[in-house]
Amino acid sequence: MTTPTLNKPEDLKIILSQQKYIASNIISTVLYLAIKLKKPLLVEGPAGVGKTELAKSLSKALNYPLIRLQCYEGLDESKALYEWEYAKQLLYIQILKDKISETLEDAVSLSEAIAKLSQQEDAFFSERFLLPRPLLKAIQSKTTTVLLIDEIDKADPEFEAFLLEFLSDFAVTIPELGTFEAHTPPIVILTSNDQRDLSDALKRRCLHLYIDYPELELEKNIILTKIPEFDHQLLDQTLKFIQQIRKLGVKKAPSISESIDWIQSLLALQMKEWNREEIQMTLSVLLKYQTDIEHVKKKLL
Amino acid sequence: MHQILSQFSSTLRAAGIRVSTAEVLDCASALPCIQSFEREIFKITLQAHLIKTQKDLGKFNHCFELFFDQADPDQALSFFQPEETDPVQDFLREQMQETLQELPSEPLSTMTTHQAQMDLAVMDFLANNDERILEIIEQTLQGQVGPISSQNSPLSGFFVLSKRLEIQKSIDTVRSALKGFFKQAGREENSIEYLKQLYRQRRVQNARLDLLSQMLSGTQTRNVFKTRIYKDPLPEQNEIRGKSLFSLEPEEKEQIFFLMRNLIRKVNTNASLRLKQHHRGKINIKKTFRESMRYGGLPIKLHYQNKLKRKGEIVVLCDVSGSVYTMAKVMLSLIYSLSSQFRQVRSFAFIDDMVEITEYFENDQMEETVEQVLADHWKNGVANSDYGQAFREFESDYMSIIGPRTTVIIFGDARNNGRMTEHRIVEQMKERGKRLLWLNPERSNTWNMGDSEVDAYLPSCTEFRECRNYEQLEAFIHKLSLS
Repeated sequence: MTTPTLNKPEDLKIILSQQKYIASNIISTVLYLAIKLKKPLLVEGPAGVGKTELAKSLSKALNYPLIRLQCYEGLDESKALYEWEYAKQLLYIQILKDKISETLEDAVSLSEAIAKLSQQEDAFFSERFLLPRPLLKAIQSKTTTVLLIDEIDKADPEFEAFLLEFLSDFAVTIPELGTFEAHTPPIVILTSNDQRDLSDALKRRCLHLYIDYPELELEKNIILTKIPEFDHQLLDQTLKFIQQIRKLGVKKAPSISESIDWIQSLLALQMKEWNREEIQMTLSVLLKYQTDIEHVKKKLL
Repeated sequence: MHQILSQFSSTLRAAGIRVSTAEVLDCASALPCIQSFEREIFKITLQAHLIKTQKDLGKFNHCFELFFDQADPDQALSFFQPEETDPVQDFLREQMQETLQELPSEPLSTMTTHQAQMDLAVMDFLANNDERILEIIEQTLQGQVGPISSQNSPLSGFFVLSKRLEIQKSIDTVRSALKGFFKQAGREENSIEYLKQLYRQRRVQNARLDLLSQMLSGTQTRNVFKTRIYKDPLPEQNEIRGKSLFSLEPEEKEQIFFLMRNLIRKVNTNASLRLKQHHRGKINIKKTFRESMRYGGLPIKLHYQNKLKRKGEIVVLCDVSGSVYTMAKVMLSLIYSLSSQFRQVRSFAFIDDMVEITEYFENDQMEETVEQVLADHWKNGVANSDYGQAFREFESDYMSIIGPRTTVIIFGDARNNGRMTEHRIVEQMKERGKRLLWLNPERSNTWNMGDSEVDAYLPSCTEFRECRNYEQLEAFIHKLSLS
């Protein structure tokens, strides 16, 4: 399979829709720019609006491998970038013991032996013993990759600072081996749930995209792409209801993924028309707090 | 294009959005990538490069409309200036009259004709007569005058004009010369009408925005319009920081909450760094040896003895009577946002009875909490502060929760309606705990006036602070999280 060519944002929209990702104009345009300018893209928005899905769909649509780095508190370089494979190094040393003593055999003094041994250092600090983590993988890859740095806001601020170098140069320095530069710069997509504000330095380097809850029409398109068999008329009513809930100011507003789940469960219950009781019964699929459910029942049902 | 972009970014800055030069440069290099200059795509490109925080999006949309769209000028301008009269126009008229009076009939020869025509046309154009500019454009279209490049575009021309008097000297001569053009143009009414329409929609807003950005960059026109428009966001913010939290407008409240979010983030980050550094201690021999078995007895990976995280505990006693309670709410929510730094936070509300409200906060119902507590426990409405009774209740029911690592925070105005102060209980709390901090939301010069019992409690406190605006609150939070 080959990578489709992109000449305008519209092209991107089409290939994403083939992956069942319905992108709005703003999504396709910003993504298109990020790809063309080879700049990282920072995607923000509430949970469940399809931030991660965007990266996944993009990698499928462009037929590039997806490399994912899930961020969490305490994530450090050895988990994100690379690690030396100590066990393997030791195993090799054990097996090669004889060979090593052979090499050191004619050394008269201890310092001479050390000098000889250090000449062989390269053998043990080579790419063979390097355990690449997502960032290094993306750089080493011979083809373009889509690198998804998911929920960057969950990582510590220090990690964010560490990413800055990577994002601006697409290069990584390993002290023992030197600098690795990307064969082809990966398409980097960072996502954030706004758990904390990201630093200006990071934001500066990225294009910014905010994905909000979709408009009624767009959401309808999305749902119809995912669940084409659902009754169209009922869908209108259902989506209007969901949009109303979002405006109600509940603790956790239903996202697209929750609407999809909900409509799927309505389908499973074979609901044919707007049925207050069934709606109430299934509301827990849509809303994640009991207080929200009570609130919606009181106000909208 | 680049000039427009930089003007637009100054406009954004004028509206209080932070836009760095590097972002503008990136944006400039991105524009060639979009082949079609569709309005929406153009806007998205600018937005993706220049706006990095969702809260700025509204401002951006507004500025974009003002700058590029053909919106109704009057409506568009209301964002910056809700005045009825128009200072720019007044200024221009004044300037023009002055110039005309002082220098009635100088020859045209002192300057290049094109420049002069352009500038004067602009002058008129800005003073609400757009015939001239239209004529010049018409000429340009017919190839009689050089093309309007970005450098001598009508708008920047105006600023050249305002600095060079000799351009203005030729105003009359050119006016008569332009009359000829007017006749000439009269022959082609349709094209003139079209351009007129186009420019009428754009001119005022563009001119003013341009003026605005120029003013902000500190040109001499600044003082002419000094009553207008722009307040530096920073001093405004500083004002807010010093403003009493009782008298905040809804808009200011939002700003304060934004400041608080930042503060909490910073303080929490610092605290997590400190806790992390605590991890580095002595080598844990046992664990290191055990781990080394995997590697044939070589201590490849060192393990450290983690120091115990020393998190403190907090007990907050909040007076929720009368007007104090709005402040109490802010205080409590702040302390709970920092709760990850403490082993435990317990909170109590009192007017005359002492009521534990910890669980309300743990259930994350910050908003209604205080109202709810008030409704639940002081049903009859009117209750007068009785610190003495509240402290006695605390002593009998809860004194045991105060341990050697507990920080006790009392929040209240110490207005006791002349009742028993029971300061000995406060003294006792201080002795049991690590420290006792009292925050008073009243201005310090009103302390001890009327029924205020500050002096009675003062000796029993480790620290007694005035805490009535954001700045004081911030200082307190820093102190609390550091020690």
